[in-house]
Amino acid sequence: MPSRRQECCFLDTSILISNFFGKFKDKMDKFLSMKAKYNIPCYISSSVDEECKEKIEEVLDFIGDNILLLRMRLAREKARTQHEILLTEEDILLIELLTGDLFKELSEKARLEGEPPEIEQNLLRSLEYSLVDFFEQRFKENTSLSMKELEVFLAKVVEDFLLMKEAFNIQKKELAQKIDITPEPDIVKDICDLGIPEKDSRHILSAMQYKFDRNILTVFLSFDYKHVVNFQEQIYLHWKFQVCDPLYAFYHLRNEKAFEELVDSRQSSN
Amino acid sequence: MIHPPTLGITFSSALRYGLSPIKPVEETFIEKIGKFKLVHKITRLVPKKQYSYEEYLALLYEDVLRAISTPPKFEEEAIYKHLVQMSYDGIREFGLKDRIERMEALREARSMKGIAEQHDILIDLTKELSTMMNREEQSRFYVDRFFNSSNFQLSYFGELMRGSQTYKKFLNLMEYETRILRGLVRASMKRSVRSAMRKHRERRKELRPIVDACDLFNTASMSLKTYVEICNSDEVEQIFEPKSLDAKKLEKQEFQRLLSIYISKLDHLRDRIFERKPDLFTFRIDFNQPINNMIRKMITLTTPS
Repeated sequence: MPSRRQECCFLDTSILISNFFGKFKDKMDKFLSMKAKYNIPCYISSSVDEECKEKIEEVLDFIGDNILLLRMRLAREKARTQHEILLTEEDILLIELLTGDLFKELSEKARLEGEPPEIEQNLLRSLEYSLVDFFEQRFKENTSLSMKELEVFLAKVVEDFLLMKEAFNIQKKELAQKIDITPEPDIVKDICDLGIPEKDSRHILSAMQYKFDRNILTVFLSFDYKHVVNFQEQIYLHWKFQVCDPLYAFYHLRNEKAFEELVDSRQSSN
Repeated sequence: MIHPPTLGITFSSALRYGLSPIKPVEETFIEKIGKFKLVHKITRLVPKKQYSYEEYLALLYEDVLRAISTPPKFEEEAIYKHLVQMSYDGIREFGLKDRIERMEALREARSMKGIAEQHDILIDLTKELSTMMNREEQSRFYVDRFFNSSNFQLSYFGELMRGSQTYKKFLNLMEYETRILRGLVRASMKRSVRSAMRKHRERRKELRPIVDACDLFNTASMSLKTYVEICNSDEVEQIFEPKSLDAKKLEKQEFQRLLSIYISKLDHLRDRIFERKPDLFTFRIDFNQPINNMIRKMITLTTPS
């Protein structure tokens, strides 16, 4: 019986994050059972590892910056009418107005930078909900609260955040081994030219370099259709490298020839 | 709560002191961290001959200052003296002086009784310190630092807190391991069992890479914090005194370099602890809890699909 060729999967940031937070659970479960059954090694490139860290830290910094602004403005508004700053239940309305200001500022900033404001606005809405919920709970126990409550809220966020980061890192290590690869800048540029963002191009190229350096069957897995999976045919046509959703990982590893023929025939019919 | 700057290094060194004899050897090596290629001159702690606690502490602070490559704002000797003094003040304040002196005396002793007493002191120290490093109080401490600083990102203080929490895990591990070592010594004392002492020696040897990793982490941590403090002080005496910090007073590149080293040493220490006792990292995240749910929503929002 001929021995099976060595194979492996490289994982995108979207896979690690979705897996941790239980997003696309059905697809992940199917992939993980295949991975276990056929003992398929999974890797992450240093660029993916770095992006995971950045994504997590960006969210913490976003929370920190906005709570800092809210605290400053809340204190300023309250200082107009009070000597000792105390918050009462009505001040939830002040939080509403101040968050509204932040929301408008974010929209304006995004407009000036020519970027879509949705992500940051949605982040702010999530933070706003948690903050109001936190104050509601605190007002059940006290009629008035000090400004220190914002510190308590943020401290709880930091505490929970670090626990989650630790859990995420442990799960990441259980799922995939980190491989240090420096992607060739010229080829990164070529991949970017297809319309793929630079970060994603670096992730894809890292996996590609691993495949061609070691002659191992390799697929790059991602849930990011917008920036990665939608380009799978173009990437294959240019570099003979397979990119896919984890749902199809096993089929790509076992049937590359068939995929090549499908892509070629679709190309010639276009 | 334990005040992180100088006491961390003091306590760590007290533990190290009791766990394995050291001889510092200077080595040069190149490390690549992100975009930076770093040439390190580092003092590695190689077991060879006995050192006094004072010499050991002095050595650690020399390493701390050597790691900062920006032109010094103050006389290096003055900073060094100030840091050593702060450590000694910390030792006295936290009632450690007598125990460290006792440990110094015990290092000359080779009797089972002496070793057992040394272990008792170490267990007390680790237990005491670990209790002081309460997670909730620490997060309040670092958020307070964030509110009283300018131009720093919250993730910087988050990393400092992660360092403190990892150090706490190190203490928990050391307490656990020292209890086992003490058990082996007692078994040997009761029944003169040779194999117990052999196991004792082997186990101590196994701990050395973890204690080394903690020393390197403490040096990196102290270098980073000392750099931030130097840049935000007008006089040497203000270093590590309460004050507001401004990130604009730092050289961005040097700060990033020291932070990268700190994170790499922290991850290295965490990995060593995880290898030795993974159950110290067991926790369940409840995504129904409002703040966890918010964090989940926010991180997944930034991840396209």
